[in-house]
Amino acid sequence: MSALFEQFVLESRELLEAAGAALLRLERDPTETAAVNDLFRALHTLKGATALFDMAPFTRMVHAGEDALMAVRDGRAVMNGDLADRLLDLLDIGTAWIDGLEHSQSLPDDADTRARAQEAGLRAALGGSAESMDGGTPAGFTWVDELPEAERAKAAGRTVTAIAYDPAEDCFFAGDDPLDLCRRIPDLLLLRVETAGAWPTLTDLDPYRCALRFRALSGAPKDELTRLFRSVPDQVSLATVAIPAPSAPVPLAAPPSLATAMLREQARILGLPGSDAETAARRPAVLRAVRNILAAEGRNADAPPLDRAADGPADALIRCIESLADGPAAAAPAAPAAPPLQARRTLRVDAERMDRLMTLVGELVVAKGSLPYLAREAQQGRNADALAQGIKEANGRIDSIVGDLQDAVLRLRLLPLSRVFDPLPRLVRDTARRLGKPVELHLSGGETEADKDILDILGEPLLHLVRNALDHGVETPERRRAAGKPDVATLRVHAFQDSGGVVVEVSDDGAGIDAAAVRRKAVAQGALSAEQAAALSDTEALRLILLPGLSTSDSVSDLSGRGVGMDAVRGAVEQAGGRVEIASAPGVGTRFRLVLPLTMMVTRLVTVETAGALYGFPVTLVTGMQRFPHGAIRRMKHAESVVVQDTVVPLLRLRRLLNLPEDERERSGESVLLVDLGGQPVALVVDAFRERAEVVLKPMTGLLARLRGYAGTAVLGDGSLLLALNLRELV
Amino acid sequence: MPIRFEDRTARFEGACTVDEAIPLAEWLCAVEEPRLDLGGCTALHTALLQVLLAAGRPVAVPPEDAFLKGWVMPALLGPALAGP
Repeated sequence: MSALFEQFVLESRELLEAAGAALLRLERDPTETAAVNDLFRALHTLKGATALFDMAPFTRMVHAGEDALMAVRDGRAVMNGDLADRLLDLLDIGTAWIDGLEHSQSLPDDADTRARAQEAGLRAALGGSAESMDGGTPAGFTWVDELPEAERAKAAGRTVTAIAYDPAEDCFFAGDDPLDLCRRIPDLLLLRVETAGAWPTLTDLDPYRCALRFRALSGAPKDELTRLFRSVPDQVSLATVAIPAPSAPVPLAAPPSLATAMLREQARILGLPGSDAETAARRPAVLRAVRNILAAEGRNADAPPLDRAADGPADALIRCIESLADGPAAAAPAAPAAPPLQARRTLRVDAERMDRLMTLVGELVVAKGSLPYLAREAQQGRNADALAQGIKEANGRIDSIVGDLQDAVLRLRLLPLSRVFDPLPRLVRDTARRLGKPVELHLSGGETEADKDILDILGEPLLHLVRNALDHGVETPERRRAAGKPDVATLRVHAFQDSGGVVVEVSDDGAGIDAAAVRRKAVAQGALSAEQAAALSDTEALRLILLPGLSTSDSVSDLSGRGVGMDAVRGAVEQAGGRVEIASAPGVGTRFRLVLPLTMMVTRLVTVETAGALYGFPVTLVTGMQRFPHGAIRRMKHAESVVVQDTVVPLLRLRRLLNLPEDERERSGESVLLVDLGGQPVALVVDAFRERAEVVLKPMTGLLARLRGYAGTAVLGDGSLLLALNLRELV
Repeated sequence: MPIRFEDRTARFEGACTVDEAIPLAEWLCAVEEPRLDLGGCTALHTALLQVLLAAGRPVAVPPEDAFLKGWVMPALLGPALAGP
């Protein structure tokens, strides 16, 4: 991929995003001229870019969008929901094409059809101006259809403006120079100079009576041309017409491949006249060449027929080679298997942050410089105390720089949350429209930063929560009115930084979640017994919606309500080392809170010792550490429990979970780690607490990857190995 | 003088205006085998184009100007080849 093309892909994406944002603004306030202009500018730039790469359908589609906007700007059309829908659809297709282009560098086969459909759709949305529909060329412009293909080649596959300019006979006296006017037609694709009739002899010719007519095609929009011909509006007529792409070669199709040409040549060589000896000598050479061509093309499947024909008569071999030459063309190269869509791995970094990194590296180099000096001192047998002092100082300096360095690197990966907020306005707009619930979206805190990986994980759950809020949270306008609320619901998405983490809140002023209903549902589905359900506090009951398969919605809409979503939200957030909190008041609204660590690279773990080995648990899951005397542990059959803050919490023993031998030591009580497993408090008996550690977790790889219960491994400062546990999989 | 009439050759130079139409037509009628040199022509008034088209004389030196070369010359060649 050329650098220019890469840039095109990158920029087009940005332009499409900008256009989308402007469009949403425009729909909200159709009078906002700044939004029209932004949108127009984005589309116009995009059109120019696509034209640069000769992607006719793309250019055509964007051009149609531009036309529609022009109509809005000139007051010929009104920006309404339908038109916005169409334009958004157009932007979506554009985005999909850009994604495709990034992988295959070509537009999909149906691009032209889709572009035309978009174009027709937009015209229909604009009130179907009679001029220029796809199938019929407007009256007076049949000459466009009659143009020989060679002449309209430049315009093929584009939507252009056709110009029929019949200058008045006496136009020269008005100071007109029609030819000069034609010269000024922007993006001229075709110009035909025609005579009104047969020429009289030169002696009879009146040079001052204009007898010429001009027919032209231009890639410029009609408005621009109307302006150009403003002095002769009565002599010119303009129409927007679509010029079909030439029938045979699509502009983007690969030219007949070199391989095909070479194979044909081989067949021709075989057919050349010559003595028997000559033809016999040619045959092995030709066969070798053909085999090489096929191998180079990766067409190994074609080798057997060639082998079969190789020993046969010469004309059979020629036919075989000719069919091979036609082969891939006829059997339309299988559409390149859609490459797995990878997340974009590029990262835009502030130059300032890069500079900071550079500075730190410089400091590190300086600090390192003291080490050879210390080594020399040691060699000369200096006093051990002084030497130790020197080493400590050097260590201190390097330590502080490495700390800063680590921080700087992490900062490189920090991106603003606005990246995941960007799709929300569109989502809310589309969903609200579909559900018939007017909703006002308030986004705030988009400038809060989080690690790139966290953002990647956050995207989906956030979309889900917003969709859920619209579908289940927000009531219909009638119900809202009945409840004395304003018709337009409010949805807030707010991000902020909290002690060492990022918090994203999604709150609505909708109906709220009825904790009693959640309890009933959970009992009905057998997730809990009636007693267990009754014992839950309302907050705990709300967390039940995070369980797989539990949905409080009675209807399954195409949006949500299938009970597959919330546990996925929880799963994704917890995978990133975060947690979900829910607060809801019936009739007032619901607030979901996603608490995420700032970065995933360094994980803070609480380490514990059990059976001589170290294990770690993410700090975000741990709610407390406590020692319980044996007497405080209640036992019911095999199940043990403790009471923590007036709540009965099940007690598990890490040794048993890991199938380790029982702890035989003499001890007065148990060290218990209190863990929150997605709203389910669990007490975990470990042998001993150790310090907290900040580690870089490495996931299990190879055979170990299949082991359940482990989140990864980390090497501690003293070189010992730590296993980070994924409790949910163990319990 | 945008069109210089030299013996048998009419040399078009720069922007040739409507004022040249009559002289050009007269010159074309008068000269036996006129030679048209449009090499230096940067703009051709419609009236002059008409005269050239009506005369149907071959253009000896085509214009270098892109617009004239690309769009106007084909029109001049067409009738010249087919005969007026």
